[in-house]
Amino acid sequence: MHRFYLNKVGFFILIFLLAGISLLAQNSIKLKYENSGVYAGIDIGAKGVKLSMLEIGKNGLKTGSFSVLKDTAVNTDFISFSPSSFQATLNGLTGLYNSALNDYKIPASHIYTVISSGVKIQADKEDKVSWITQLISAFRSAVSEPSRDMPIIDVKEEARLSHLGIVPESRRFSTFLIDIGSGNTKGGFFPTGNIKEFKLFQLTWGTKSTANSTEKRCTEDKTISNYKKQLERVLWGAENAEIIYAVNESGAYPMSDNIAFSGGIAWSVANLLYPELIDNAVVPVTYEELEKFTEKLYNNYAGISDSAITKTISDTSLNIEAIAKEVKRVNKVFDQRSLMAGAGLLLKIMRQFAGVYEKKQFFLVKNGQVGWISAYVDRSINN
Amino acid sequence: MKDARSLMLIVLSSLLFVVSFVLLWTWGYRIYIKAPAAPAITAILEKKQPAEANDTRDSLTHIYDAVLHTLDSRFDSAWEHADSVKQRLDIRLGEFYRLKTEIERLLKNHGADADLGIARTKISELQQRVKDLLDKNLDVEYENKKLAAVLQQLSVNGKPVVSNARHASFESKQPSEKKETVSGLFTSSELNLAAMKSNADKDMETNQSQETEKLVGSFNIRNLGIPNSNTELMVIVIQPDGQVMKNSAWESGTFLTEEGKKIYSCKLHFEYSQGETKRLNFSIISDKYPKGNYTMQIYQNGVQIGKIQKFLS
Repeated sequence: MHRFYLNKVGFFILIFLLAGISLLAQNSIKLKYENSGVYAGIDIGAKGVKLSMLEIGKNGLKTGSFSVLKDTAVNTDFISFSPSSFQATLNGLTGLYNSALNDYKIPASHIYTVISSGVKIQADKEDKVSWITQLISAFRSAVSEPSRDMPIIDVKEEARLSHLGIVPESRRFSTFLIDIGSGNTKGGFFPTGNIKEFKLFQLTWGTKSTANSTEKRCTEDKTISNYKKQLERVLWGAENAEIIYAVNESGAYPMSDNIAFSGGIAWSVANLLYPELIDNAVVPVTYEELEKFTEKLYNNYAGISDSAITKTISDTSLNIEAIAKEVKRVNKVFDQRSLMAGAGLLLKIMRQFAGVYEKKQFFLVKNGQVGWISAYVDRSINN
Repeated sequence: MKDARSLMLIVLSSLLFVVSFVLLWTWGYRIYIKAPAAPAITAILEKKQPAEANDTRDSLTHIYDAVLHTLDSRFDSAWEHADSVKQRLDIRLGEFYRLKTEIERLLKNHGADADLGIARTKISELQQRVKDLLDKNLDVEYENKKLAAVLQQLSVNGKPVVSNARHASFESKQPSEKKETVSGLFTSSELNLAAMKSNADKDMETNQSQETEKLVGSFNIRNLGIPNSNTELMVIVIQPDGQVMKNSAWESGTFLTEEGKKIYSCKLHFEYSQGETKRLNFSIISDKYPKGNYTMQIYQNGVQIGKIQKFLS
């Protein structure tokens, strides 16, 4: 009996110590810039609640460079609009808010909370907008902040804020930002030199939807060669039925010198193609480089493993361990087929801008998911 | 009676021994002089179908010669233009020469009719190899034409033509090519990297890291051989800790050099008129400027054309 209690006490001491170490590790945020500010954004999306913490240096707003300190998500499936998903979303939202406030000591004025366009679209479709307002009320009362601003942003506003947050001021009116998501693609640009006028660009194709359509076409032959063949057909269809028309209709070609891509596939390609630029939130890329990369995905997939990529790096000043870790993370998130689908879609969109006479500069944005927060920070500072 | 039986056994054993010896000797002899023995067998075959065998051999020799002729007419150009594909071409040519020797040996051997079948197979293989070589040659010729067109277009547009396409891969170390490459490069002079601080809205130079608000680099470039052109240079500024300084991720990237892939701090695009001495400058703003040596390197087409250091205390 005595021994049983001793074991139990020992177990609790161990848990306590581990929790303490974990808390200590969480709170020790390593800042990159001097004179910087730390901000947090909590986004209630279709899939769940996402917390992004970022550091913005004194030049961050002008140059568009900021450092992502933490990026956490809780899957709650809010758009199923059930009592359990409502409660899970509320708990996730409150938990992440309290974590930012208490664990990371970020003042409430530096924490931004928004409801994303995905939730709004689904709520409108199912006539469930009241669920959103109820969630906002419940959250305000849970954190005792009755006047907390919790805007519901639509697709256009989300794309506009992302543009304002990601693209630096100096390139704002010459850059077309395209966010390739899992189920769709959205983006746009400022055609008149006024940040209030934003031209929205949308496609019904995303990385996952392209991969799914390809898988469907593969039927019984599941080989990678057949996947490639079917992917080419899917992309050909997407390009001819939608991409060419959408790009032409947007009027972005004559108005943009820079075409920037964000989203998961942009992040993964940037890390696999330019591992040396691990610290860069944005990397330049050419159409030819991406074309070669898509061929490599099929012909030499082993060549994008962490060990193969780190072997090619000769610069000794780089943190090889960190690069290997990031490459491993990419390969964990995207398998060969998803990468082929996403990179293929990226290439098809890029192709619309790869002119013979007028060359556009292409960029891959790695931290697109936190773009809107910096726009919020910018707006709050200006106000 | 017993003695007679023993005697018979001894005689029989001796006979068997002698027969075995003769057989072994004959077998050994045939192995030893196998070559002279072969004509005896083929002579019989030749008697059977001499005309048919000769026809086959003649026909094979004809095909063989035709294959060689096809290759020879294009071979020189393929070899001359082989560059990045040289290693693969070496392997293919090695295979080709091996086959060629084998077929020659088989065709010279007028006695071995059975070998004609092998020769036929090998000639087919040789034909395939030649076809591969010709295909490769066509690819090389096509690539060369494309490159020539690009170089011509660059010349027309006034862009600097840096020797030939081989330079980009940094594979060639031939002195003659080095000379061509150097002639396409700018020479840099009066390199300067200064740390600046603001004083009453005016920029003033400083050597103190704590006072520094930005780094300003400048240098002259000149080349008599380059016609009027739009060109670009890469600038790398390295901090004392070995990290490359960047204004913004949007202005930085990677490029290929003779030492491998490098990260650049900024890219300078400019218009150049032939013979002009042009002064270029740039600035880099960072959040912090640690004490120590700062290195500025200038690259054109992956080749370093200038370097300077600045110490901040």
